[in-house]
Amino acid sequence: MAHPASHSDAAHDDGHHGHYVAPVSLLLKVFAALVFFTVLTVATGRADWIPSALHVPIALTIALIKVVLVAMFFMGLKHDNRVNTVILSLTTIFVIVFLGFTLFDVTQRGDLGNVDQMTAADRAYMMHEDSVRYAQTAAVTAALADSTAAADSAAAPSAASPDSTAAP
Amino acid sequence: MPPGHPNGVRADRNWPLRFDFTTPMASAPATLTVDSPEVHDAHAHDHPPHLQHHFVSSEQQFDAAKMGMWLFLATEILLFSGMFVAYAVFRTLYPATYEACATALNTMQGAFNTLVLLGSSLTVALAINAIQRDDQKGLQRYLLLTLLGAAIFLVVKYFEYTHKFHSGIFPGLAFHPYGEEFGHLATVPYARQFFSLYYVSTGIHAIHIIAGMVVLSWVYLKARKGTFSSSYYTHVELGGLYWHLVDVIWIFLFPLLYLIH
Amino acid sequence: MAQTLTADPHAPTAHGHAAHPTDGSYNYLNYDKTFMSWAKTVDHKRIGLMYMVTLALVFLVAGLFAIALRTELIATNWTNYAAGEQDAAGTIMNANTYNWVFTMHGAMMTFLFLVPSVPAILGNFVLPLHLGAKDVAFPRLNLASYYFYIAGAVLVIASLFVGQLDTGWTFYMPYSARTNGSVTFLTMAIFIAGFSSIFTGLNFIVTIHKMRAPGLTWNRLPLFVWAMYAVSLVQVLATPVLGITMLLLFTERIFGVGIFDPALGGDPILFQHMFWFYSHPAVYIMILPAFGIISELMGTFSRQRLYGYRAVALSSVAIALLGFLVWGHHMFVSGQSAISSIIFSLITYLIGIPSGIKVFNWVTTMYKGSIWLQTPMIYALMFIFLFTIGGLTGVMVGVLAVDVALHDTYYVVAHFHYVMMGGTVIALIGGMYYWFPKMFGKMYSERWAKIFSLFVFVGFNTTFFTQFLLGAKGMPRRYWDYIPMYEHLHQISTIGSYILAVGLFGVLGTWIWGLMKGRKAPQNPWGAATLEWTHATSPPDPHNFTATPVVTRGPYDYYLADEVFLTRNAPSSGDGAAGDGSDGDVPQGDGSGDGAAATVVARPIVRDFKPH
Ligand code: HEM
Ligand SMILES: [Cu+2]
Repeated sequence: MAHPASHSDAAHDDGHHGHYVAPVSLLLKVFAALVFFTVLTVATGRADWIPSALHVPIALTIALIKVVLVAMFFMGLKHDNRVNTVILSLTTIFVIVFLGFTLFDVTQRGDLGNVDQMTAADRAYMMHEDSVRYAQTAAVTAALADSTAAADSAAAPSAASPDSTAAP
Repeated sequence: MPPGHPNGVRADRNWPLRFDFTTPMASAPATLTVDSPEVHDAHAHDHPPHLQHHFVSSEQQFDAAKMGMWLFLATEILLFSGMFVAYAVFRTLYPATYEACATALNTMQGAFNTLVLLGSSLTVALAINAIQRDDQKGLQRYLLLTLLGAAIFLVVKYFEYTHKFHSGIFPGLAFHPYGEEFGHLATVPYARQFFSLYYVSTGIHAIHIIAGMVVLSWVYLKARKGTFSSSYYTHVELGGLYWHLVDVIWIFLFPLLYLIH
Repeated sequence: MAQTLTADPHAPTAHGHAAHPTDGSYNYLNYDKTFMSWAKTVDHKRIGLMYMVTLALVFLVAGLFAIALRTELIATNWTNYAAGEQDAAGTIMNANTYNWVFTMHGAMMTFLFLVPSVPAILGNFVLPLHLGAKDVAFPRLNLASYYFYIAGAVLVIASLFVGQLDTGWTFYMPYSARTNGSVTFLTMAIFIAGFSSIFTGLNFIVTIHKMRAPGLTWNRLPLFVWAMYAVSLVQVLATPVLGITMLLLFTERIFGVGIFDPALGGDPILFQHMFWFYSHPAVYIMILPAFGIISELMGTFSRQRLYGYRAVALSSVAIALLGFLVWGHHMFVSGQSAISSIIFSLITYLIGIPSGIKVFNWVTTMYKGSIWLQTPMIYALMFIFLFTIGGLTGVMVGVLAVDVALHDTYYVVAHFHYVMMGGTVIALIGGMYYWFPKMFGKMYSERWAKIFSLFVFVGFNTTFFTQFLLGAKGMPRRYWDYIPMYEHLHQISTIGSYILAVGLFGVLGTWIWGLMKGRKAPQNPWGAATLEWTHATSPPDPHNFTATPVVTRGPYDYYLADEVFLTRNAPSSGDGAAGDGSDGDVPQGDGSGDGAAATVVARPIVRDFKPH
């Protein structure tokens, strides 16, 4: 070959344009599967008999399956250059790293009592108390609004300042 | 210089990356070849009008464009990952809030929109399938269907948003829920964070839908002019990839925002 | 033949490229001299030069800010209130202005100068040449990337009319949500400039994968290309997170969404996580390209195959990937959990390893080489010295217990200036000297370049080594004033910064002088073995190469070329084999188009340039 027409990675089949053509029937089947998983995720998401700790993992697993289906068949990764799959996988890994480290820190914060004495569990408990207090405050506000016939009963206290308006 | 000299060239192994990175010239003769203009001319038949001058073949151009698109999609995923991280952090900090707020979102509308987006993903895939078979009419029809799906999605979103606005559910400081349906949220601490994240992430997603509609409309106009064929449909493919990504993001947003109990 | 879709006035004519002279007199600089031909160019070489001019301006402005800072610190404004003294006015500016100036200095230097610097200037110019390609994979995207950068820079300037930015370049919450509106502009500016960075990275990755010349296998890539590959990965994977961080900060300011703002129930540490998830990898965006330049210089000026090619290549990629796992070392005293700090501290030690591998390999490359002390090599040696100090002190501040004391002191300031200025900027200057003949076809004055390199070296160390001492004694960073015990060191540092400024203006002077008056540069003044020297004229043809090069050996195989030459050409040629002066003709010129594929015997890679 006098002139090396093939550059780099494009080398596999230069000259003719034989892209893989996904058959229509396959695309329809994939779509059917996606619809099925959507229904499934709604069903499991609403089911009360599933322990609440499992809701997120189940939803995420189903979402992941759906995404793999879309990526492999609709986006054609299955028959594509491998490097594109590598790109997607690398991206996923970095998302996991980002999410993992950050969440880890959030759940551990206050571990040595160095800054914040509260752990996430404490906070969750406090939140529960907060909401009780909020309910009381709202009730008081509503009662006040009723008795004085104040115009704007809609102005419930801002969710952001739990302590400032807390009724004893 | 003896052949075994450490500074001499070593046997060329396909190292360190084993997948498809080879070039076929690894065993080229030890000379520098210079191809003359005539050699280029010999390849003139290889140069269809869409081929840019710095590429050697259509195949190379197509592969490069597609890889570029995948890298761009990677950046999109990481962009959204920031929002997912924020979501996860607040869900960990305030789980009760999230359960209380997620029920306030209309699951049926969300599920309906999910199906619409999945359908439009299908039609884009069918559009590519059509042009691969040189079916011009099919390409145009499926592109239009995709655009229709995108439009339906946005209309549903519009009703979702305005419905919440009417009850004072705004992002950020303006958040002050009232009324029968949403009034109880006023007593839920940190509900603002949930709805802010809801608005920011679905809002940015909606912007992507709009961007996707612009891209696909442009592809549609080109398709009407008969630009594409089974040997050249790069823009259809790239537009399709982008559209699938918008779908993928929604596949995650939907259960996380609407469904979690 | 090739029809072009680009606005490319130099598209090849129907009969190939032979219509123009191929000796460099017809080149990318002069084929079309109109303004619009520059503004709309898609030629990677021209885009590189446009970046060069723009970034030089940014560096000048941000540098002047720095000089202003140092001048303010030349004397203490210490006020003895007990003795009834009044507030001091400051040496040249008040405290608020100082906050503004150091913020602008930091933000412009990082986001508008260091992050784009080497990839945008030298990457654009050199990468396609190194690959034997006609251009990057997406030339129009490349131009778009330049204009995105300009848009970002314009927004930074626009912020000046809104208020004085005073958050520091890190925009920490919650202050950044409280202070004036210039932050809003900066978030937009950085978001938009981020696109520029992403497009460049994306373009380079695809280019390296898809546009390599025949025969250019992955282990024949010059190490500069490997470095650009690694840095592009980081750009593509990290920058979007900065984008969303800025977007969320934007919504925080506009709507008060309460994601970061603790007063609204948000989490300010989350902001730091997101910011540093980008910004630690970003320091590798700044340093990895510099590693690439140094590898080129070390090989060429030691005339020796780069020691441990694979280790150097892979350590670039390792650094790029490991760099994503250590961001928490910026947050040791932020309120991050202690266990996270410990883990981040441990991983931070690891990242010293690949950096160390590189330094060892460069030093070993020089061992028994024939070292040619031209200006680029001087900068390369300077780099090794300064980067080693910067890297080692980096590991020191990476030690959790030590950093609790040193965080936010001048010690950290000194650390990152040693790596960013002593590393990136010094390598950039060295690379500019190295490729200057290729860019402009002119030689700079070796003598003056050497003289000014001395100023740079002395000035730099005087400025920043004192800051290690200041930091160790507890001088906090970002302070407008200090107590008298720090005054002497501050004064030395300020004087050093003036020397450094003289040196840098001198460097600029040698380039301008070279442009105007410089001797015509031969094709391969350094006797380098990569394609831009062996196969392209100085300056290169608009299409880079008048014919597609075919690569048959590694980028640093100086000896291999000698060998071929000795066996085939030695008897008949008077040219010396080992690098004294010879004519400027190197293989590629021979393909003048008289016949089918012409085959040229590899000739020695000699310096075709007489050092005075
Ligand atoms: C050898 C590897 C390196 C290590 C282990 C390292 C470690 C560290 C650590 C632990 C800090 C935090 C100090 C503190 O804030 O208390 C830091 C700060 C910093 N480093 Fe490095 N570093 C390294 C290389 C680099 C390089 C190559 C660059 C840039 C080219 C760089 C730029 C910076 C900057 C800009 C900061 C200060 C950020 C701020 O404004 O707070 N570092 N480094
Ligand atoms: Cu760092």
